[in-house]
Amino acid sequence: MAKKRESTSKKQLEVRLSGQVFEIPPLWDALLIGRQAPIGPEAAKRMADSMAPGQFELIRISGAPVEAILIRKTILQSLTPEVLPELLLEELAPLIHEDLVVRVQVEVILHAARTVRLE
Amino acid sequence: MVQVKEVMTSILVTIDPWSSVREAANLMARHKIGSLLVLEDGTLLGVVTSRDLRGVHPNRVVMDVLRGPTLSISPKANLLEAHTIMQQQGVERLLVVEEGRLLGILTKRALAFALGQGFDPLTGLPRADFLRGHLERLLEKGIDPTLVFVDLDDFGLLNKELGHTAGDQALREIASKLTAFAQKHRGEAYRYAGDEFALIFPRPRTQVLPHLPELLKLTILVEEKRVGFSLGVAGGRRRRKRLGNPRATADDLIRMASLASTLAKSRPEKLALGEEVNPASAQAPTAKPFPGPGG
Repeated sequence: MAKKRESTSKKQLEVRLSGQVFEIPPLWDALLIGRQAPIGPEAAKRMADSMAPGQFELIRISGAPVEAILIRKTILQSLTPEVLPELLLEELAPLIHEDLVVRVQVEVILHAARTVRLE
Repeated sequence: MVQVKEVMTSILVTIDPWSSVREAANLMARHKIGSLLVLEDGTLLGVVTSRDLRGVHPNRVVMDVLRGPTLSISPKANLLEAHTIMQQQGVERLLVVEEGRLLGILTKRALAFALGQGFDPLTGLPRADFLRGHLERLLEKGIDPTLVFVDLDDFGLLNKELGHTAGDQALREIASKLTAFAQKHRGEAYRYAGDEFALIFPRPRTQVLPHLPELLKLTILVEEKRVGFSLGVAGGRRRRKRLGNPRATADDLIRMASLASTLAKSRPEKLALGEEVNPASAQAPTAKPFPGPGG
């Protein structure tokens, strides 16, 4: 801690500030937790539950660099738990490493088309 | 028979499931132990071991390395039961629990050390203590086991004539053959005392006696000298559970089989049954079980 004192010293402390809105929860839609990541599935789930109670579900993955996926429950209403991990692991493969935690935005868009016969 | 409570560790160090792996490792190092009990609000979630922490990021929480609930065992269980559970389940620790109360933890290392003291280093066979324990367990289950005592003939003479190294060779030879015979007929072999061995078959005598001539045909050769042996049989006659104290019954079976093997020495067929022993002469066998380590 710098002390104010009379001296001939030229030393100075500069304090810089920057601010940003912190998202609650800061997890986006899915969190891919690497097998050797600094945070494990149980800790990540506890963190999610404390910030967004009941909104995230934990899906454990076997035999992959990813140990588990923490996913927003609303997404699981349109994509089954069997399909989603496979899709995420396949598409995000270049980003995935067992030491990392990767957060993912998942946008589910429904495309529909119908032909109506005119009388 | 030594019980789990005599070998377990009763000093228990606990950790919260949301503590870090680093903290768990430090705690283990500080107490020089290889496992911690994981408790949350007084509820036991399991045991975390040093092996569980290996290669895990130190920032992770203990909850993330916990591998489910740990198996438990009664403090009154014997060491062979504990060994069987550990082998079958592939675990290295058992919680010692009595009436829902945690008393201690039994580690594989402590168990191996204690078990090692119960085995004969010369033949590798379990000793009298285990024989008695096995008999007691079978009797408690309502099984009337068939006990066969195998007594080497003129073993003292063999030692005098050829020396103790030849005697040791004879003991190793017969132990190996008895083990093979016991395994073939779903039994277990033990070294009871100096030149006395025992075989336990958890079946009626009628299923064991037909195989004994095969056993008597075995040839034990030491420096071209044939070593013979005599068999004494007890138990295996009752269909119903024996009444009374299993420990006393086990001692009784051992005594009868041992005396029968002595009686068999004077017979050409080298086989005698426990009920043929004159009850008046039914005294404790002359052979004494091996003293345990240090006594």
